[in-house]
Amino acid sequence: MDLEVNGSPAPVSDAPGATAADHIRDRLGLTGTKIACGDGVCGACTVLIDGSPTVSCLLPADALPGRSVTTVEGLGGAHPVQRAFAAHDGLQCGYCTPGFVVSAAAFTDAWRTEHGDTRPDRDTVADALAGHLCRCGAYEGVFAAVAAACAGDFDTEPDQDPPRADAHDKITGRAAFTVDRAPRGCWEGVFVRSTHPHARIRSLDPAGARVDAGTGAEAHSTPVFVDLLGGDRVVRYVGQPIAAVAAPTRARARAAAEAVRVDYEPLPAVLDAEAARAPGAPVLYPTREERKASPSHAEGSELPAPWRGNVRGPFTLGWRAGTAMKRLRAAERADDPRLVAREYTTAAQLHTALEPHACVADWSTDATLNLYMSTQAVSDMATAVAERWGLPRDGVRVITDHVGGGFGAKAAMTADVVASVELSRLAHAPVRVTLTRAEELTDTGYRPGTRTRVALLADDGGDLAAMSVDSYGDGGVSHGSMAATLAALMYGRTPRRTRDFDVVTNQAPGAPFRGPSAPPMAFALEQAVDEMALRLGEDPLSLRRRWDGNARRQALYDRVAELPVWADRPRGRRTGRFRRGVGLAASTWLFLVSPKSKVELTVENGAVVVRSATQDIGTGIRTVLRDVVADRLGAPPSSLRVEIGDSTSVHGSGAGGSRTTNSMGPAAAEAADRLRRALREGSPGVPPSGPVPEPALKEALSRAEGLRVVGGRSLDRWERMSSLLSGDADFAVGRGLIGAVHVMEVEVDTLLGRVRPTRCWAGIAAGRIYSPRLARNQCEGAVVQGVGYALFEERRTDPATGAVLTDNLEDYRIPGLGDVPETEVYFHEEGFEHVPGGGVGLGEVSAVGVAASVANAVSDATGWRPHDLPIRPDRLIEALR
Amino acid sequence: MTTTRPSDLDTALSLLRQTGARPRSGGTDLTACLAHGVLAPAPVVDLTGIAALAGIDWRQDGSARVGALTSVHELSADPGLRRAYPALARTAEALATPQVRRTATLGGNLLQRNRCWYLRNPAFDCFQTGGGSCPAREGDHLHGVAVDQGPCVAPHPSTLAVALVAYDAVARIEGGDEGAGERPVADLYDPGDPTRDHVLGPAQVLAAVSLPAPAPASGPPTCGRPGGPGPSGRWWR
Repeated sequence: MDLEVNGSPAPVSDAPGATAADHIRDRLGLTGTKIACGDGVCGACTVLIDGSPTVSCLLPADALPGRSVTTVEGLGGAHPVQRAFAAHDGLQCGYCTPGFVVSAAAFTDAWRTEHGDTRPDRDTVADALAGHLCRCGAYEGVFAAVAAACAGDFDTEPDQDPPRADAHDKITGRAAFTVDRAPRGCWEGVFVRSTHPHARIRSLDPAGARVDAGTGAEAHSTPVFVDLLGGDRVVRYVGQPIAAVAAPTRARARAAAEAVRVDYEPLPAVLDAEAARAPGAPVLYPTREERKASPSHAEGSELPAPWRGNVRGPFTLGWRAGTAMKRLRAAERADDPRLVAREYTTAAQLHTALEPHACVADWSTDATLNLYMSTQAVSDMATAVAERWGLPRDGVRVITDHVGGGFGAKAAMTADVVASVELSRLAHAPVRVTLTRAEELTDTGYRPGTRTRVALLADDGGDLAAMSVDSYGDGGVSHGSMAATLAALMYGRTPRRTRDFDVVTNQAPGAPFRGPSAPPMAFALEQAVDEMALRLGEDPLSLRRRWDGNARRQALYDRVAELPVWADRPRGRRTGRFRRGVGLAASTWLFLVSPKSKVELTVENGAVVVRSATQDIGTGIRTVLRDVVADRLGAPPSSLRVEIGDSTSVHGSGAGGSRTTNSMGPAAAEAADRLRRALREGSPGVPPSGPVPEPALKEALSRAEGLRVVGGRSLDRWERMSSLLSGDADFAVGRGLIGAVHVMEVEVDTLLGRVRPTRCWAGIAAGRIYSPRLARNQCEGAVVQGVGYALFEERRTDPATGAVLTDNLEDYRIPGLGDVPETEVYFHEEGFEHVPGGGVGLGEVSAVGVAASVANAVSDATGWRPHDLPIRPDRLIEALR
Repeated sequence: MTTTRPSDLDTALSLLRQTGARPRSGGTDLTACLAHGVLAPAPVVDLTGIAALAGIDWRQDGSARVGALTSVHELSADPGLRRAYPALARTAEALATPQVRRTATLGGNLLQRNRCWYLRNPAFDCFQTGGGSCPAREGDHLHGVAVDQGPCVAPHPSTLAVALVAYDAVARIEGGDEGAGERPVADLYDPGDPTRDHVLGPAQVLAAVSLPAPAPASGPPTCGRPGGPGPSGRWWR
């Protein structure tokens, strides 16, 4: 029987056990269809089978013959819903987008047949696309896009270009991610991972796999093996890479990996923080050398702290700390009702980027080491790879066209990179290492769990008199928590003491995750502030307006006071099964910058090419570069070509710490200004500012063929605040704190214990906004991730071994369209006039306070304050019983 | 691993008996189990071409026979079923995702592998995989059973089964040594035997489920608010 794909006959599968997704991607080369969860949960692999949306990862390839398949490539790009996704920016990184548009196209067509050109409501769209997940959280754009396409708004090509520069590539499936790269003759690499939480590896038997460069014919087909253990030969968690194996096919590589024999000498393990702190507990890092070599999950360099057994810390910050502690102790002794002291815990949150970690390394020749890498730091990774393998920097090339989400987990050199490089060297072939979803959710990091004690004391006038925050991070074998330290940045300069600790255990390491340490801080601190407002009988907004010295957040509070969702919120005790509540949370993040960022502009064939070794992880730097250069140069955006994601370009910022836009934007502006000056020298017809008339631009560029200018991101003394956290990396702290205020409305089902966020207002004070639609999308997505953190997300492990149980998207639940509130984003654009470009980053600050606002809303609705995240149904029911 | 696709039930049953192949309908769960190593590859008998297992038939007395190949989506969308057995239709509508509902079948849902995160994790052995204990019992059973009846603490994953049991539905089983027979849906499972998900033998096939005529103006009590809030209605299972 024949198979029809996108209207043409296609070969059927002859690979035993293959899924339809494998067949479509590997055999037919239609890589627009993505695989993310492999469990039919996320919908990234959705195709139409005989017109019906189907998850191709759960469809056996041998069920395809006789059917008609339509993939995203078959939609062509001009389907109204594709246009609408681009115009309404219903996407960020673009990895889930092909699946979304395939389902949305089927829904839109069916809807219009049945209902004519009318708008479906939000719940209808959420139900229709309930089989799709977007980790970036571009749901507001998706809702708008689907409704508009159903209404017939996109039956013709819109006049305006979409706001996102790479939207068209993403809605058509043309955007190539690292997992889509399979150079000719590419081998597949897989890991051998530890099955013990703590063990010394006595020996490793590669079981026939080749461990050296080999000779003759066997060098071209025998599987190759690399040992990935450190010098101490110790594994410290279940899932830690021990070795990696590559073979010409994935099946052979898997078989070779299964054949590897590992001889473990089990060592005593500690699997939770309590056991790790018990007297006589086995110590993970007994020596100074081991402690020094142990991994950090901090962003940038880690805060210094002493060790005692398995506890690292404290790192203490104080401002009249003695006074603070004296006041708090006295208040405790006196049972002062104005003392609010409680402990809060948060669960570990998995990044869950839909594109797994992946690297394709080609070291088959002695010339350049070429890498396709799913990374947030193209330039830094090229440098790191060159250093690790002793190569000149220009002997390494890292290419990252598109990244299917990172959120912090793809900012360092990960095991997939090390394995693929080593294996490629042995195999004399390119080697691709792609993590499975189970590996991705086991060993690529997470936001560590925390246990945080907050004590706040108010004085007779209701002012904050003292504050103390102690926080213990639970990041497995890693450390670097700074939740308490970040609390020191909030609520003025009242006497205070903050202390951060880490407890190390035999669990996989954490990694920086969007606003590292800040969401748990806000969850604890903002609830304590609300509790204080309750004690003082004061409105939570009014209390924050009195306590909060940050002028940018004050501007946001002024807006909150006017918001109907806040001003008209229900008051008093609520009864009945469904109870509505509104909560508020303030938050902060540092202004970070990469002062070494550069942007290069070259005139090539009469056009301007924008280049930098930065990368777009969905946040939109490709668009920002295009728009900034277009604006400063006075050229239409369509006349520019942006080529990023290639380490051979000038150094660009890594994506992390909300620093990409504010680092790259000014560099792009400087480059454009330089190019403009250079063009004016040859062509006086180019005006000094404003748009350049098209003929003048054309003529100027033709005279300047080959011209190359570079702009940089300088950081003067006034802008720079501190070199704290900077280390050697391209990382500095600027002056001024970024602020945000979230207002959340929830409906609590007190019978079933469910919390449904209904409306959210996100006020962001990050200075001037470079690209309003993309910035809004990112802030809306932050609300989605924050709702997940508040209500569902919880990495759970087996108490006996530490094996991750939530290693799939069925058991690790992230929010879908039906789970998220209608969100309005407001930007307060003042306050960063001292920064070139006037704007700073918002990726982190937009995420920090969301879970705290959900918790305060739940408390407002029910009278019960959640002290533990996530706010699960069982916890709510237990509390309200 | 070969797949055959017979068009009549007798051929399918004899293939299952003779070759030790695995029956498959929508294949959603089977594919996931193979991908995660829960099941080893084996030959497959694809049942989707067998007309005798398909369709929804109404009998004179108002009862219904629902073929095992009926998709979960059809269960939720069929006007007759919606009218006569609203709890079944509503359960079907809330199950998994729209894509999975269109592929997954009634029979496959009732006979799916347990979704316990220990069973589905190759790092653990349990009663079902030749082990002598339930690691979830000692371990993390946040989503475990509320009423502890047997050695295994994982709840049965089929929400359709719950609705069908409430309607006193009867399953029709074909094949096996004892030949065709019928048994209440609840008796597809043996809570005392933790080594398997259901009682069917390897050469048996669930052909259909019969639902008695609905009692006039009654039906099982519903809980929750119709069309009410909450994410789980749109979520897995």
